[in-house]
Amino acid sequence: MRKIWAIVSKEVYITFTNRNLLLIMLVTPLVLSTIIGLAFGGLGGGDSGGLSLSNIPIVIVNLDEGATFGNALGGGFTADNQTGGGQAFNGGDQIVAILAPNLAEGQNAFGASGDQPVCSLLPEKGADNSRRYSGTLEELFAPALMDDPAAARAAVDRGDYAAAIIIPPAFSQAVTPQFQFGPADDQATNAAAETDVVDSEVEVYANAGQPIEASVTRSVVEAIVGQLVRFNVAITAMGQAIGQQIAASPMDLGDVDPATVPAQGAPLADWLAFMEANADRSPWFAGLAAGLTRFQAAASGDQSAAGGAANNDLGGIVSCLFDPNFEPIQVQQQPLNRVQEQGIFQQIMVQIGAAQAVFFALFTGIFGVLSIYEERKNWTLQRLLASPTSRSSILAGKLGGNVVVVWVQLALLMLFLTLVTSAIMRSPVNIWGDQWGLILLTTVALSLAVSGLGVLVVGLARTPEQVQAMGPVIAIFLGALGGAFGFALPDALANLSLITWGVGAFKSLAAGQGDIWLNLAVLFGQGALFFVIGVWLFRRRVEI
Amino acid sequence: MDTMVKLRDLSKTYRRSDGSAVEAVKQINLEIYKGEIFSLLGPNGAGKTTTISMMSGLIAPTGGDAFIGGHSITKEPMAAKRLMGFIPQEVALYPELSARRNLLFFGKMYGMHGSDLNKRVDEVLAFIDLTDRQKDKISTFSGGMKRRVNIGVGLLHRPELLFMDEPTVGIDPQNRRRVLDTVKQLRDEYGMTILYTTHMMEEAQELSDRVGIIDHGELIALGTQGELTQQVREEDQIDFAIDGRGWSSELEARLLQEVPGLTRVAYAPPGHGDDSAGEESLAALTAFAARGRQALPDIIRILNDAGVEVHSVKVREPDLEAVFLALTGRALRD
Amino acid sequence: MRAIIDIALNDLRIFFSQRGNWISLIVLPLAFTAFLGWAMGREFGSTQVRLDVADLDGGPAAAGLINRLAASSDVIILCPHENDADNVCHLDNGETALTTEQGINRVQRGRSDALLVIPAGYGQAVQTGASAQLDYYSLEDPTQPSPILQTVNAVLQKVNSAVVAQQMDMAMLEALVGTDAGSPLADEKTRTAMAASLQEDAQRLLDSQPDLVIFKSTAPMETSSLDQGFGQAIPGMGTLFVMFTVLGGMVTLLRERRQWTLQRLAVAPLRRSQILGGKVLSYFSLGMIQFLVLFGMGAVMGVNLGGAPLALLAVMTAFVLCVTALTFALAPRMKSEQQAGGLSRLLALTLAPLGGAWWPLSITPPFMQTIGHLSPVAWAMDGFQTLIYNGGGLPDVLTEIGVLLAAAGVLFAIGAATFRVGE
Repeated sequence: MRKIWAIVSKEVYITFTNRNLLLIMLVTPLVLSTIIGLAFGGLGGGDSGGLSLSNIPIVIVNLDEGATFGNALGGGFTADNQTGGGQAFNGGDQIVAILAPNLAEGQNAFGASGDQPVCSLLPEKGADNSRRYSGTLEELFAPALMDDPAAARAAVDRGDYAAAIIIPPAFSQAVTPQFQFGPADDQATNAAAETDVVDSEVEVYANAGQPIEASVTRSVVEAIVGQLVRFNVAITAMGQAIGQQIAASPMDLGDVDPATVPAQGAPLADWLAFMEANADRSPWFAGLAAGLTRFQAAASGDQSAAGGAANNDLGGIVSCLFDPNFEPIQVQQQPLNRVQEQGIFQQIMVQIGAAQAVFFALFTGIFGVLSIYEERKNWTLQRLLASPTSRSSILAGKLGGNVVVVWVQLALLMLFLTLVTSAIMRSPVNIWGDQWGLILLTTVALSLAVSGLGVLVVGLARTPEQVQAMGPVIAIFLGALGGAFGFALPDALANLSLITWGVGAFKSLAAGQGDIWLNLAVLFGQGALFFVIGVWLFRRRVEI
Repeated sequence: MDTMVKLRDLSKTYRRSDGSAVEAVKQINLEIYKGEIFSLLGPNGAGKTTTISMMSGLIAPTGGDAFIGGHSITKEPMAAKRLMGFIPQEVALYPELSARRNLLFFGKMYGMHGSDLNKRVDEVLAFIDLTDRQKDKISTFSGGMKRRVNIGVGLLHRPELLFMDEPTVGIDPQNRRRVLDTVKQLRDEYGMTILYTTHMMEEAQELSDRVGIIDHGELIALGTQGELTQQVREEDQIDFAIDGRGWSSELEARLLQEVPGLTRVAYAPPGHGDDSAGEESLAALTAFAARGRQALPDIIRILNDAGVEVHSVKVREPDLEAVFLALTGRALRD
Repeated sequence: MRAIIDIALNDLRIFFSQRGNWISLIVLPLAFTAFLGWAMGREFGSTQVRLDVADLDGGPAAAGLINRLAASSDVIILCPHENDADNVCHLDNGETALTTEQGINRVQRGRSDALLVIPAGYGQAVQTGASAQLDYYSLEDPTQPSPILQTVNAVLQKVNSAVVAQQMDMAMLEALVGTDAGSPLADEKTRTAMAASLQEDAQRLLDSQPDLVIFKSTAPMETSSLDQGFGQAIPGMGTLFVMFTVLGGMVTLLRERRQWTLQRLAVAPLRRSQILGGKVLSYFSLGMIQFLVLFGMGAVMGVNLGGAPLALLAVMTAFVLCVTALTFALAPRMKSEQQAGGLSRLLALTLAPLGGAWWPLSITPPFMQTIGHLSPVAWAMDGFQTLIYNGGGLPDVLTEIGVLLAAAGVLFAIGAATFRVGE
């Protein structure tokens, strides 16, 4: 036993005094994990998560011809850049204003800048401006404008931009409210929407090589368009609801000449005239006629006729449609365990760090066992064999030494990962949890499995040269399955890799959960199996 | 006699990392004639392999030049290399390939191809007696078989000149015999010129037409065996094993004075020299005399008179070993 | 030239005479690509994920939300609501409703993938526009976007739109017609009916609203979370494999010197350039074979490899040349096979991730991207990206090819100057 221990300590000493070996065993995986952790988790431990993307190059082509909505309500909130009492509306300009405030021409109503009315329906008005697009979007995107969709797509093809956002001519048309008084006419509404759909879709044309940037751009554009659609829906629903209420309320249209009823989309003045003329027939006619007159007066700047705050109220109400803060129902991810509480950086350090540690340990395992061949070449193995030491002891010492080396590597990496995480988060944390017994057990199980794999690979190969070629490929293979690189495979495949089981165990422990017995069983089982087969093969190849 | 190889001041100086220079080979001049076996004899580290490596173009000389069939190895290496075959000290073969594949590959490297190459490989395989194992991988061969293939590769392109660098190192006596016979056969039956390096005096003695003795990078003797032993011919060498306790410098002076024809006496105290093994106090006394057998009784008498016990006496005819000893004061195998 | 080819062919013959080398050069990379292709080819829909819902509200609005969630995705199984006879939800006791604690416990045990808690008062919030927060619990991979959370958010956006539209419409109507006596909205009952009607209309309009954003990309792009990053798996892993194979040549060179076959070549009537050329050609060929095996299998498995195979080949060639040159520049400095093996592993395992073979460089900070371009892998990955995803052709990757070839030139010059056979 003393002899075995002597061989083991010799192995450990030789390994950890080799500078090149230390680079590959400790420094590379540590640096790599930190870079990836920072890339995904950002600095600090906030729970915002997500990638630290910024300055995503995008190009916007705004072909939107705008739309005029024949009804009244536009005036209150598109006052400045419109002529003719705010009848025109351009959804494309809105998108540009939000995505590229610095490039947008003129001032826009519900964009990022300016002193547009604050949503008056917000429970706590203006208290939290953090969710506003302005500011954050300016950092997120590096936008440019173009006129030609083909040129923009070509630029994305070339990789100049991560995505092109092409706003079609009929976009505004599609999001312009179908304001109509009268009973809901779904078929008409839907038909109108569907005919427009072909050339009214905003196209996000993304570079497939930048999937992360592409999906970020896509979701931002979808959110903005969603806001515009919300406006459309609100106005339309209001029209329909009012129609229903009018129909349901006591009134008598029996002797009204159908020809005097204004057509859909008729100018506001026509409607006003109609409602005023028939004000006694429905309380709605009276109320709406009065309200709209007041409102129109306010929009045209005639404060005395406006009767006070009505205009401002209306502006404040409408701006709620475009206020990102006005999302009453929200979903919030809650931490499920210790690690999630600590934030995404720490989570990623646990996951990526553990995967990298095991992946790099595979190399130590395989090439550590290979050193038996080196010893034979240097005749130190023969010298050992000639000494009064049993062959089993020599093998046990060499392989035991390998297990210990792998274990020390894993333990040191885990320690350094914790230290690095603490340094970056500026507070001491132990990212691996405090179930020391289980942590120890997991590292031992992993060392056995990793080292066993080394014996198996060296046993399978016929010459040291084959190990040189085969070892890395097998390690990469297991690394890829086990998620050591930038992609995850389905569980059925991932479970083939001992890395998956090891990382799974570390994640559970870090999360404060102790249910890792299956992982431990798999790792110990693989380790034992590898060792038995590997040693059997190995003894057939090497006279030891 | 036609000259096959001519060395002109061939030198190799290595620079150490500390800036000092090591002269591995010092301005060697020699000629090797067509059809002869020339042995380069010297102890390990004398510079034999460096010399042969420069001659074969493996390493560049730092001074001088070697001419193979009139072609300078530094200026016309291709022409020179085409004339020579090289059999390195190591088994320089691809272990993963069969004997035949190895031969085919290196044959191509000498510009042979097609049916000519195939025929030649068959011949060589027959010559090295491995026709039945030609398809087996080198890694499955015994040491002696590997040596034979190693030699076979050097013969492939029917070279006029063959360099053999210590081809018998590390092989058993039976295979060694075979190699030596092959070397003679190559000269006698194929008229090859062979440069053979060795540190084994017996091999050089058995094979060589001419011998060059090299020590510390210097060619210290050159000639036929007869010519070399001539240098020590006048003096026989008499080796005594004596009880060293009675030895003194006065005794040495008396020997030189009283024994006719005795020219030189070398004394090695107990514990030195190879004869003393086993008997602790035995010293080695080497005497050189013009007529050894005549001087012997006188020497023994004087030693007896002085009370020095003589345990054994050996009179040696001059050989290459003696030549080396005479030239360097050291045994070849030290 | 003939000698160069003979030397290279001989090296390849030796390489392929070993079964282990077949495994490392062909079999495992093939298996790797096949696995990858298989995983990519699978419909994401075939893997169902379980989303537990703890409905603490229990009202019709919450039920409506659950229905919407159920309808929004075939992939997501709502538990316990969509449990079936096979107990797809893995319920312990056939519960028909889950508490938050039960849900959390199930997520932690892996019984379900996520838990959504609809708080009491959700229905009230939807009615009044007050804030409500749904809690989401999951142990999903933080480096991959969550498809469940994305779906939940998409459904909630519509709910919010309806709530906001209703709130705004009501506020607007009240501003227009007032709530004084005589106004049609004076009556509380009418107001409630109006509000309900508005929300219903808005919801219906939203449901029938066609998608106004279409997403296209330069090349087919897997957008499910499973496939994030797959796009570069083949070129990325390919470069890593190639680095190991070609840099391993350092070891082989030293071994050839040890077994004296290199010296034997040197005494043959061959120029140094022929020997060097033959060796370079053999490692270059191994690298190219490895690349072609990976990309070829990828093409067979239907992985998108862009539309410019020749340009792709040019980038591969330039990269393999560069790595081969690196091998020959370093090999003369190696003292032992052990040292050479260690260095080849160190280089492969640092240059590949540094150059973006494992994760795209674009997610790293700008200075890391700059440093990364010290690695030939970064240039190769840039080239592959241009060709595979940007629909680029040869003219678009000339810079990358140029840089790789220039580096190869410099490294080859160093290697040729220091390449020693005999000493």
